[in-house]
Formats: sequence, structure tokens, C-alpha cells
Amino acid sequence: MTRSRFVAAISRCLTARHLSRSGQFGSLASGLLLLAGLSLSGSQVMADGEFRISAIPDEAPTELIRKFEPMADYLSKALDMDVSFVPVTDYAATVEALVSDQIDMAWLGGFTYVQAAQRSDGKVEPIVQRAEDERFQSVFITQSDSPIQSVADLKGVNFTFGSPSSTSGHLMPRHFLSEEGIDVDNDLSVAFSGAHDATAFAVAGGRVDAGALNIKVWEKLVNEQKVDTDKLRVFYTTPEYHDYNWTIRSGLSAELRQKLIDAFVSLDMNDPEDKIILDLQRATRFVPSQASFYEGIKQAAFEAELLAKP
Amino acid sequence: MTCIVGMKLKSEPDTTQLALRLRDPERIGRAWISFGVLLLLFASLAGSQFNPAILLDHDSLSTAADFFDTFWPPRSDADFLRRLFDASVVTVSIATVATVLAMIVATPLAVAITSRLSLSARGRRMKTPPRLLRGTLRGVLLFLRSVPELIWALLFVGVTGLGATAGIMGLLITNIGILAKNYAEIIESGEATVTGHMLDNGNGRCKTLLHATLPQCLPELLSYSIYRWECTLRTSVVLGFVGAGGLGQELLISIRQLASPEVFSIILVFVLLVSVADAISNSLRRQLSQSATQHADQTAGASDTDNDSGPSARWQGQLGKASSLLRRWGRPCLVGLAVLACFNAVDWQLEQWLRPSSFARTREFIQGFFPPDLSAGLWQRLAGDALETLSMAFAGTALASIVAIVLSYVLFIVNLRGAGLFVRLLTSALHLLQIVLRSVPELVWAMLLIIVAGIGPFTGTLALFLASVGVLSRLYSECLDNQDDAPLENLVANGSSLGLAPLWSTLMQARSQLISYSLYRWEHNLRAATLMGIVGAGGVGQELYLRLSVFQFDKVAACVVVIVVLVALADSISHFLRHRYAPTV
Repeated sequence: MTRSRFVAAISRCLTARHLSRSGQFGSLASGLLLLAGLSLSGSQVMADGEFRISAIPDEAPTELIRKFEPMADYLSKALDMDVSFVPVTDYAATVEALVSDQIDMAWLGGFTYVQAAQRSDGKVEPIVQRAEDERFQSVFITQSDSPIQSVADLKGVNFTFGSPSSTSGHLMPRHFLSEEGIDVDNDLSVAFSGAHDATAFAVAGGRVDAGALNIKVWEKLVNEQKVDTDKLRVFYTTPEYHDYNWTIRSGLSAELRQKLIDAFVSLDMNDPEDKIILDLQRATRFVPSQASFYEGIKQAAFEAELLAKP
Repeated sequence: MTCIVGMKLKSEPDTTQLALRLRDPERIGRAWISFGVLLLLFASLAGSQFNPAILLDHDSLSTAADFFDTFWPPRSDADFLRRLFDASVVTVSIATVATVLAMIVATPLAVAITSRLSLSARGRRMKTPPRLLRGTLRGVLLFLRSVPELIWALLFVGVTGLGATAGIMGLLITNIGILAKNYAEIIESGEATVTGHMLDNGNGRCKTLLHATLPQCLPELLSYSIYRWECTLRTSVVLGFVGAGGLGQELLISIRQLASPEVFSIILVFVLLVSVADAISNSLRRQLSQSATQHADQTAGASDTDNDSGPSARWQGQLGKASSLLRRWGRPCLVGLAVLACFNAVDWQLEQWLRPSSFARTREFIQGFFPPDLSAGLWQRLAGDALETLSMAFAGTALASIVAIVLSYVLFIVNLRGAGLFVRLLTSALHLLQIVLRSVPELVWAMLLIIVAGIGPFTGTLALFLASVGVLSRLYSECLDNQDDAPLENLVANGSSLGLAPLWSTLMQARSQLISYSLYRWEHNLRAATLMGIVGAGGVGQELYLRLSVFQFDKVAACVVVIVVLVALADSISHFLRHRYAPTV
């Protein structure tokens, strides 16, 4: 045994030398050359005339693609340019991409819009929102047989929000909880499910005692029978607040901005083709939006210490 | 240790006198250590809210049943498979590029921090300036590897936008920290005499490095790099969060949708990828030792053909030379080509890099971290989270070590016995289980287990436990197989039972290596535990992810400080223990 180890050690030394001489270094050198070549060609390729839209991932990503690709096609016709939908898996990444001009327009929640506005020094602009977004709500759910009947019963339970960046899944539920006298950080054991539908599934599965989510997603899940209303019940519905909007990045031309607003506002429920798009967005019609609608959300974020005071 | 002594006494009751004389002289110290470890284990089980009863709870069982019921058949339509194939290519490319680039950067760093090549340290204490320099560099490397990949990646999202590049940079920076540290450890654990003699004889450090240090350690350095590549393949999952693409992102999407047939397909592909990676790395390592033997044979063969001067023989010699060239260079060339292909497959997004606004954003991003938030409320929460993280890592590793040692011991004995069909089937089933357990990344285990075990640190602990059982049982098995058989054969020849004899020979020979494997795994698990909170599985990661999501970088900085301290603590404790109790490795 010792002899064979000795041989192995020697052989290792020999191979080591043969490898150090070329195999390794050769491939590394060619990799570097390739890198240099790429950087030369890369710098010549600049952004083309494509218009890139994205959305915060408040639902499962395939659901988002189903929702937004018809919208991209519609905008493509209305703007007469290529429009592509860029799927993103993280809220913060969507904000960051919009603020650093890597996407041209994004479907944001109230809170993510406030974040984007702050991070771009107010340069991004909300242009349209659904009529429904003027009066948005969140629902709090628990298991049917749970002892939780009101917000006051939540002390000491496991509670899940959606994504930390969500307006209707985190910020506003947190805001209304503290208005009802619950100290979220100390009275609850908090988790984040990541998305509204995930919150519903987490509560249904008994993984947490209760959770808060977007009322629209809740209604959709109930209508499509994706959740069992025998197992789950709503025990609190929040007051109304402004939520989602389409926000454009800074530096888009005034003409393009107007074309976008017109395209959204002219979507009509009575037109069968438009109806498909509106239904997918769960909207009856789009209306112009403005920054001042989101002052309430901004204040709530300041109070919850989820937005730094400038 | 004491329980082993107990067993020995029971098995030989009539030789009490002899047993008394042979009593372990260090038994008291060892008993204290065992006691301390047990105490820590119970504390950490409590700290991680360890409660297996949850797994049998009716509600969680039915949810799990709903999810896993639809696991079979895995989704396998052509469209989806093509998507998975593309995603696999992206994953492999990202991991390869990040590893290769990290190897290039880490090598000089490792050379710089190792004390082996210090001139002032020859035969005396190292002088202060070089010691300070090395210390600083080590600190920087520690920082690089303890800040989670995700944070580095998000840093680059500001520069290059969403996509593969940000993911690569995240993996690259962490890999540089890990590779440089381990390269330096490998260099320092190698034979010191040749390097020392060369330096003492007045050779330059560069020359010494190239002629002594590097050739000695290269096989081990390469093996470790290949192993790191495998790990990178698995960690790349977490970068699905920044849209780095690849299998990780697909998996994240499917799990969030609870689309179990897709999850199953992706996990199968993952297992396949890691197995292939494993096979490739084995074959490369085998070549490292084989081609050297061939080299020796060939030299011997060449002297034979010299005697035979016929032209056909010479022709044959040429042919033999060509084929041996192919054999020697074939695989390294293939690897080189594959690496090039990976560089080519990556979408570098270079036009994004060169925009001046990107640099401004990065500066802003970094400035946001300073000064870190020091508010009492946050730090109170973080202290609790830190304890939870430590508990998760310790409980996961300790439980996994126990299960892994039993598993590998049983496998070892079964192999010794050379057994029938049933046992062979059982061992292959165990091997398969090992592969599955260690191919699936911890974070993915956590996402799957959350469906059964719910949100909280228990899920994170289970996830770390499962992945670690896979890794440790394999390492333990290899380690037991590599021990010298002579003591075991002697024991068996003198009448010891085949089932217990390895306890006294093989296991004892391997013990320091086993301990050091567990310690390495603990370090690894601590890093992994800091990220579990991202999916709701406990620890400091949840606060980190929350604060990242709401762009409060001063609070993120506080989380990062906690993580860096935890990782540094684990590193130094593990380093100390390995040198104190496992000095052979």
C-alpha cells in the first residue's frame, strides 16, 4: 500500500508539471483573448429601437407572461415599434432596472413606484392606472377553523406578507395593522411568502396562521377555484388606497409619452379585442395617473420605516 | 469515544484486567468534549425550533401530498425540455466562467497570502510589515467570501442590469474569496521541505513557486477548483433572484407556482448535471495520475524500440507517440474548448458596462451602505437572528454528521463482506440517495421543505441537514475506503468480528479527517444558513432580503456586518479546531 501511494505521489508531481506548462495556461490565455474580442465587438452594439416593458412579479411569472404579452403586442401596434416584455423575478430588481434606464416602462405597485421615484429623484413618471387602482384594498385571511376573528387576535401568531416590496401584500397591511395597534415587528412572527398567490397557498396549507394579500388576486383565486373557501376565510379588509400604475422612465420623448397614454386610455371594454387585454389586466378601463396619488403610500412607508426620509 | 470503550468492555467481559490497562488515557477530556458537543447540539436544536412532529401534522401532510402527488410524471413536453436545455447551458456557462475567472484572480492572491513563500519567515518569525500585509489581504478575502453572492450580484444589477453578468460577478467575487483561502491552505498543508530548501539556497520566490510549490500542489489545487465548480453550479440557483437566468430561475418560478411536475423535471435535470459534473471531475482527476504512469511506461518503451531499427517499428513508434499525445492532451484540450464555449455562451451585456451612468449608480449604491444603521431595535432583532443562524448551521451539521457516519460505516462493512443481490441493490439505492441529496442545493431543499415543515428555522435546519448528509456520507465513505487496510486485517485475523473491527482500526485512522470534513461542512452550512431567510426558512437572511427589497442599504450594511462576523467566527473556530484536534489534515 505504501509503495503504491509513493508511485501515486510521484505521478502526481509529473502530471502537475505537464499541466502547469500548457493545458491550463493555454485555455486561460485563449479565454482572455476571447474576452478582449468580445469587448471590442460589444461596445459597437448599441441599444436599438426596441421598447422594453416589464412588471413587478406580484404573481407567478408564467401568469405575468400570459398577462403582459398581449399587452406588449397591442402597444407594439399602437406605437409602431417593437415592444418586448422582460420578465423579472424580483421586485427590487424591477425598480432598479427602470431607474437605471434598462427598461422603458414598468407596471409598478404603489410602493415600488414610490421607491422608483425616490431612487430617480422624481424623474420616473406614473402615466396611467386602472380605474380599479384608485380604490384598492387588501384582505387578511386565515383558516376557517382558526380562532382568529379580528386583527386584535393576531398577537403572537405566525403571519405572512407577500413580497417585502409589495404595496397590497406588505406595506399597506402593515400600515393598517399598526393603526389597529399591532406592533408588527414585536407582536407577530413575520414571514414573506414572496407573492400574493403564494400567501394564499401558505395559509391554506397551514404553514402560517394568517396572511395578507391583494384583494384582486384573492377574488381571482376564489373565482378560479384555486383556493378552497371551505378552508379559508377573510377576517379583515383594509380601507381603500391607490395602488398599481404604469410608470415610464425619465428621458422618454413627450410624443412617445402621449402615444402611450392614448393607447392605454383608448382601450375599450366594448371592443372584443380590447376586452381580452383588459380582462387579462383585470381592468375595466385605464385612466391617467399622477404622482400626487401616491402621497398616502409614501407617508405610510415613512411611518413603517420602510422608506428612508430624504 | 467513551461509548466505544463501553462497547469494547461488554464484548470482552473476561479480560477486564487487560481492558483496564488499555483504558483510553484521554478519556476524561474526551468525555468533556462529547458532553460539550451534546450540550451545544441540544441548545442549537432548541434555537432552531427543531420539531420533527410538524412533519407528521395532518395539515402539512395533506398540503405536501397535494404537491408531491402531481410530482409524477415530470413535465417532459418538447417545448419545456428545450427550455430546460437552454437553461442548463446558461447555468453551466455561468458556473464555469465564474470559476475559471476566479481561479485566475485567486492564484496570485493565494500566493501572496501564504507564509510558505515568505523570505522573512525562513527559520524565524515573519517580520511585521509582511505579516500585516498578509493579514489585511486575508481580511479582504474573508470579506469577499462572507458577503452573500446575492448582494454582490445586486451590486452589479445597478451596473449591468438584470441578467447573467450580474450573476456571474456575484459568484465570481465570492469564489475569489473562497478559492484564494483554500489555495493558500492547500499550499500550506503540502510538503514544505523542497520549497524551503530552494528559498534557503537563494532561489527567487517566483522560481521557487513555479518549480517547487506549484508542481507539488497542482493536482490538489485543480481537484479543489473542480470541486468548487460543482459547488458554484449549485449555488447559482440563488441568482435566479436577480434574473441571472438558468435552471435556478426556472426552479424559482416553478416552485412559486407550486407547479410540481415542472419542479420535478428541473430537479432531475439538476441531479443529472451535477452527476455529469462529478463524472467529469473524477475522470479529470484520474487522468492526472494516469498520464504520469503512462509517461513512465513510454520512456521504458522508447528504449526498447531503439534496439529494433526496422522502419515499420519506427513508424509504429510514431503512431504510438501520436496516440499517446492524443491521450495526454485530449482531455485538457476538450476542457479548454468547453471553457471557451462557456465564455462564448454568456451574454456579457458589455454595452451596459461602458455607460458612465452605470458607474454613478454603483457609486451611489456603495455609498448607501455607509454608515451602517446602528439603531437598537434593528440590532436586537439581528442578535436573535444571528443566534438562530448559528443554531441552524450547528444542528444541521451535527445531525448530518451522525447520520452520515452511520451510513458510511454500514456501507463500508457491507462492502467488506462482499454481499448478495439484495445488499448490492440496497447499496446502490443508498448511493442514488446520496447523489440526489447533494445535487439539490440547500436553498432548493428549503423551498421544497417549506411546503411540509412551514416557515421558520426548522425548515432551514432540515434543508442543511439533508444536503449535508449527501455530501458528508460520500466524503466519509471515500475517506474510510482510502485508509490502510493492515490494522483492520490484523484485527480480523486475530478474531475480531468484521462488524466491529473497523470501529477500532479504519474509523480510528480516519477520525481526524472525518472531524475536519465536518468542520468544513459547518463553515459551508453557516454561509448557506445566512441565506435561508430569503425563502422564509429562518436566520438572518429574512431581514437582509427585506432591507434589500426596500433599498435601505444602511440596514443591509448592518445585516452584512452580522453575516461577516458570523462567517469569520466560524472560520476561525473551525481553523483552530482543525489544527488542534485534526492535525493530520
